[in-house]
Amino acid sequence: MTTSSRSFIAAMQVTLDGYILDPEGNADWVDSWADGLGLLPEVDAFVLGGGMFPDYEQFWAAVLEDPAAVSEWIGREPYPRELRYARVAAATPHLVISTTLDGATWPSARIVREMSELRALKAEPGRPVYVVGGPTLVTSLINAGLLDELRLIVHPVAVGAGTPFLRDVDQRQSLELVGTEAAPEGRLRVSYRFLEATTPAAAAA
Amino acid sequence: MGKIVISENVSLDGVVEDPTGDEGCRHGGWFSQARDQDLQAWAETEFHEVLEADAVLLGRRSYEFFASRWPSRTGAWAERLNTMPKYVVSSTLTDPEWTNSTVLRGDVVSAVTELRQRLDGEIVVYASRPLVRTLLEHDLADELRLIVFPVVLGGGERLFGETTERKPLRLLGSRTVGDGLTQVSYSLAQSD
Repeated sequence: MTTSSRSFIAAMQVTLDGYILDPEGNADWVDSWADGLGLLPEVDAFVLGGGMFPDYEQFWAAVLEDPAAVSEWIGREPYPRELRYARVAAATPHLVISTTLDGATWPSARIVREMSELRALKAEPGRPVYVVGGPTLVTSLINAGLLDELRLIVHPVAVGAGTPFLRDVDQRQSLELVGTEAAPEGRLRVSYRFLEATTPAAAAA
Repeated sequence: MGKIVISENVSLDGVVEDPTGDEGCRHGGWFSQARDQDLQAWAETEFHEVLEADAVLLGRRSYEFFASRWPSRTGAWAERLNTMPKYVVSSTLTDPEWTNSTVLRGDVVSAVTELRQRLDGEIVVYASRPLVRTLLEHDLADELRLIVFPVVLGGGERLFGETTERKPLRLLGSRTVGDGLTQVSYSLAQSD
């Protein structure tokens, strides 16, 4: 799907109460981090925040180069869909927004310093862009009006605290429900499209 | 034995606080922002739920919120709510004026445990955030039904509190309400 400007689609895996990590920084309810990409059509690029990128890069590089090490790490062999993810990811440009990272070893990654670079990517015609995370980047994109869709895998667990999937969204965001479907293991897939930002006053008018 | 059903409206980012804006919270008023056809479908869902229920259980603040509104309303939904048994957890309320209301005094956990033993059918809990947290913490809730509103608020009180320990849930079902809302229901596995 090619459009006059690229749509930015974030895909995240969250608990029922809206967290991506529990207070200890774990997300053991996630079956595979490859599943976010499974919610998307073919994309032109991946966009990631600098905070999550070092772990991301290390993990997917290991899936490509040293699956045995990954097996030891995660307690199982990488799924076929994880091998696919790693290959797709290695071949698709990754823009990593960070003011602190110096460089990336991931073959398709490029560090960008300014939000304006993401704005430029979005303005070009093309296929969608997968916003991988984390919550700080997703929130910044929402606050900048650059996020078009939010697709979630909702896991059947509540943790009460941890890292929320969005933080500090500075203006109320109205969404349009695109779809919801049940997935294996009691998960739900839900997707929403962002509407024009509204304020209570505007809505009441 | 009765079944305690926690029935809540929640924003996509998990906030339950001040849906109508009546409490004047900064993030309040998100419920009334939903589209008319969605609110109509929401009302049908809620009405159907209360027809299936045998009793309503509320915290004191939520009780007072409902008790100041529903008695003057008319129609099948109001009639149902106004006539059915209502239980309010409170140590201060002495003379509840809403028809067919009973105050549960003393220790909340033992009072609700006793109520759940004694009643049959569904005991629905609306709003009542502190009570809900207590019920969740003490494994007194059997089912969680959430109607998710398509809005991200960016702040406000959430349904689950930090003191709630991790709860595994079992998905019972999900469906679209109107065009924009979703209702998801989960059973709460008892941790024993």
